[in-house]
Amino acid sequence: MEEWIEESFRRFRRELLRFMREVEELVKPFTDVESGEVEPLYEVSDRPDRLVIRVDLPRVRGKEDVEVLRYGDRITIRARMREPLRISDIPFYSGCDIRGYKLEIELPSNADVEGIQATFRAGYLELVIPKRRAFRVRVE
Amino acid sequence: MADWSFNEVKELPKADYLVVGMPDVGLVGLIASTYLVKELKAEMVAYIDSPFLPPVILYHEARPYPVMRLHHHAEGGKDYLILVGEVAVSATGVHSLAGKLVDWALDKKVSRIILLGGVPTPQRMKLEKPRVYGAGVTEDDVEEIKRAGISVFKEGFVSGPYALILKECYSRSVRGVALLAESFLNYPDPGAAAAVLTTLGELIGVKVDVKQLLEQAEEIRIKLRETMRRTMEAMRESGKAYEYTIPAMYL
Repeated sequence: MEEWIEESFRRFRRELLRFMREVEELVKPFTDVESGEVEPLYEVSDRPDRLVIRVDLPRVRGKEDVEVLRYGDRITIRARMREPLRISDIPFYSGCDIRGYKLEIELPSNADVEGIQATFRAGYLELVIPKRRAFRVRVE
Repeated sequence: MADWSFNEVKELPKADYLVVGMPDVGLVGLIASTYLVKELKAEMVAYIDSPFLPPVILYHEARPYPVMRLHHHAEGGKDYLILVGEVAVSATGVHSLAGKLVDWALDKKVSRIILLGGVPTPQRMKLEKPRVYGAGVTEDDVEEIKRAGISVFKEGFVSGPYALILKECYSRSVRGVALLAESFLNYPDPGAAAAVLTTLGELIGVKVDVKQLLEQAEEIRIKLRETMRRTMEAMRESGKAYEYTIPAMYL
């Protein structure tokens, strides 16, 4: 087959997959009714020397209820509520107690994962992730 | 179907005030107007419909409710209409909504439009009691904001649906005030909603006890996560970033 036709097909397939992912993202609820874990709201601010991630964790009482795990360049945050929340009148949530939060974030390649600091205060978790400085390659 | 239709389900008296709460920054307007309607037991008298709204109807206590509703409350010889918008209106629809809303309010002889909302501040986490600013349309509005002891919104951009409503008020010399509480941008903020309701009482005399709202704050933050996320999508298109921008006029 002609090269340009193959390339057109490849491009079309990529676009289609991207579109499908976007649609899934839009309609996906961010509650896992099986585990009772919800994805918390969070924001990332990109500063010149660090990334700051703030996570909204209402009903989480203390730092002992929060766990931050790092696998390679992925961070998983889990937090538990001491009293679960029941929203049983809405069919989607029926029989489901919301017990805690789970959030997975992929970090950029320049994140200094060894230097991550986490602070939990008044229902908000703040992660400060320093950025690694670029390594200058000498040009001969 | 026209862009926006106003459908009255009960005969409406003329109203003195139109109080508006739409989803925006920190969902302050939505949380405040919902709580206000609940506390005052204000009856639904009309609803607004449009192809710009998502194809949804909501159910509460086994009864269907449109997502953009107007409730009526009478107190101290005054009539109040309270607009509760459950869903964010897309940037394409919000222009025509602002014009139609002000038209309709004038038709109902509304003398003042009060908008309940938030202004994002990065310091919100450190604020026990958020400050509420009043952005007035006419000189009389600004005077009244000052008389009520509310901080006057002096400098900066207001963006999104409230900006358009203020603009419509301005172009027709309709009295209007936006009460904007310091709030989180993208977390539901019941604390800011409580501050805005307290200030509303100081401005126009509709008083509600916000104790229960503050007690339920954490539960509201969890339950409104999805609404916040969808509102953020609409806010992205509506020029929200202007609210962090220093206007050249300030130089």
